[in-house]
Amino acid sequence: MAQGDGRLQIERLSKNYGGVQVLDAVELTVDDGEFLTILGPSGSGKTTILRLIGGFTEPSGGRITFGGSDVTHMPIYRRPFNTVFQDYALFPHMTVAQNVAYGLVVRGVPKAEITPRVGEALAVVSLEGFMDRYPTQLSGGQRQRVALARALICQPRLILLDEPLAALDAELRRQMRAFLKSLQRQLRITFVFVTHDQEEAISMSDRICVINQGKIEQIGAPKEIYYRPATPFVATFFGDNNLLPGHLHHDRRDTANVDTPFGKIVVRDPRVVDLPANAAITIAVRPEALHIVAASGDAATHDNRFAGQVLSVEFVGATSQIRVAAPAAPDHPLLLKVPSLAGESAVRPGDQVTVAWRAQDCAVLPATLV
Amino acid sequence: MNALRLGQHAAMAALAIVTAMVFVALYAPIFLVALLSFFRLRRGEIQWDSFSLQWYGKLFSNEGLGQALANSLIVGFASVLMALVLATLLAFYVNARPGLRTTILQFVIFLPFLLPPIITGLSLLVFFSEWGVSRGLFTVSIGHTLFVLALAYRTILTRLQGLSRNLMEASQDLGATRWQTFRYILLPNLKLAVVTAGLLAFALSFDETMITLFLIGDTNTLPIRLFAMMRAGFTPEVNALVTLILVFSILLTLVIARYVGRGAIGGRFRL
Repeated sequence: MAQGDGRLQIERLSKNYGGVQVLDAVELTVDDGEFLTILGPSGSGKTTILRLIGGFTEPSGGRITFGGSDVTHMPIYRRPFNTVFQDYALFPHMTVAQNVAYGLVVRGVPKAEITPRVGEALAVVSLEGFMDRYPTQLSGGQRQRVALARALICQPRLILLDEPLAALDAELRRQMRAFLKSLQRQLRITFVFVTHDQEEAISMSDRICVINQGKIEQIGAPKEIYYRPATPFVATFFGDNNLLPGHLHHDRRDTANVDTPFGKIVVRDPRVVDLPANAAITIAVRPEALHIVAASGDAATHDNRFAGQVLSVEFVGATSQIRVAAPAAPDHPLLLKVPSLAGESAVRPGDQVTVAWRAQDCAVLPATLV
Repeated sequence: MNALRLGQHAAMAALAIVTAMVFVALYAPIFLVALLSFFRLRRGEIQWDSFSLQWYGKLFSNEGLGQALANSLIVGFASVLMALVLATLLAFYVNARPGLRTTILQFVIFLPFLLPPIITGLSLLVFFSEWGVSRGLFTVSIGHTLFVLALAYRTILTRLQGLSRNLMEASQDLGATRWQTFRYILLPNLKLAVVTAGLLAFALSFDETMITLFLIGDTNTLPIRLFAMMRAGFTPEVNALVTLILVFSILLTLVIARYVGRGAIGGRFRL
């Protein structure tokens, strides 16, 4: 296989378990050297995709190719991929060095070659001094790194990681996140990373594939997923979002007017161009894109504004969450997140305020709310 | 305050006494048997000046007894070996595909262990005589295999189920074939369970009497021989024999404790 020819392609991949459709015709391409995260809630089918790529499960339909050759039914041990399991799956009866060496030993690599390579692999994960320890004598983070070294020593073209940080505490998880990302950049290995943690996905990935109920909702760069969600699910799965139902009006290029319960809202989203006029759509606006402005403020910087009453103010540390209801839509309060700054004049429940936001902060989802 | 502490002390003392009594009740008869294999008893008193090894001498010159011991060992080893092989295969099968069929299979495996031995023994006797198999060590070994199978199976299955399926997948993921996975991952992790199952099964087989009685024919195992000796009248030879078995059992227990206690699954996996 020529260098650069390590593209993983998944075509119409499906999986049923006893009549239950776990994956439904999934299409996904992972480029050589890419860090791709498969993100979804538990039971979404994300781990099933990983298991199908790794060969631990047989697909019910579809094809997986790697570098142009079909690997759909290739035995696990012949696939040029290695997996880091969620519970690390270290062999309890072997030392760290034996665990790491395993992939080379079973392939019949000469012993003289194995010893230095084990040393190198352990050096990459900074565990040189732990060769003779058993897995039970290691901390969670150390086991994690042994599992990584054990996968790396096989020099795979692609590494599958199944929620590898889930069992670590918050501080360690942050460290490992940065470490994994830099390791992946440095080694130029393709990473397919499965997680349910959206922060993890956003901070590490080149691209994110959001999956829900066995179907891919959206594939894109973290910013694209965050600012231009394709579906209501994606819009709300990544942090908070205000979703407003509406009808697209008067289509002109990427800027359009939308009729909503809050009145006419101006939106700017390139995806508007592809939508028919008067289409039923959903607008997503991030809570941090909404601002409280002076009633007679400068209309030029904020395309949209409405007057409303403050329902609640909740201090949650770095930000305060404020709910504001418009008289036109009292059952549909909007959520605002404003930085909590000491000495700032506070908004109180019951206050009349004007909320404003820019047209480009509105994402248009070509779907109605369920 | 003081009264409370006094009460606690009294309770602890009472507990200690009860514990001591239980131990005495359990071990005094055994200890007595060992003593009586060396000393003579007259009018309910042990004659401390009568130490001799004569009963051991008689025991070793008793050819029937030696033969019975040898038979017991043969039956023990044969049935343990067969039971371990069968138990391992069955445990693998049940672990691989759970379902109604394996539930029924498990029931069948446990049945001979749960049935009164007299039923198992009688059924086997009828079966063998219908098929014209003459009774002897072979039929006893089959009977013991059936009897100890459940125990061996359960011990191995528990360990197998305790092993993360991820370990097997990780092994193959790292390039190991199914055989290599079996050899380097599964076997070393099962070794302890298999050894434990073997030792327990051997202990069961060694003193099994009821099933043996039906299947033995005209030869003897140790418990059958012991039984026969008792019928003919109590002789101190029996004490000597029991003492020897006791020593053997203690040694076996020490071996098990040492093996399990060390916790070493000590894989032969080499770099």
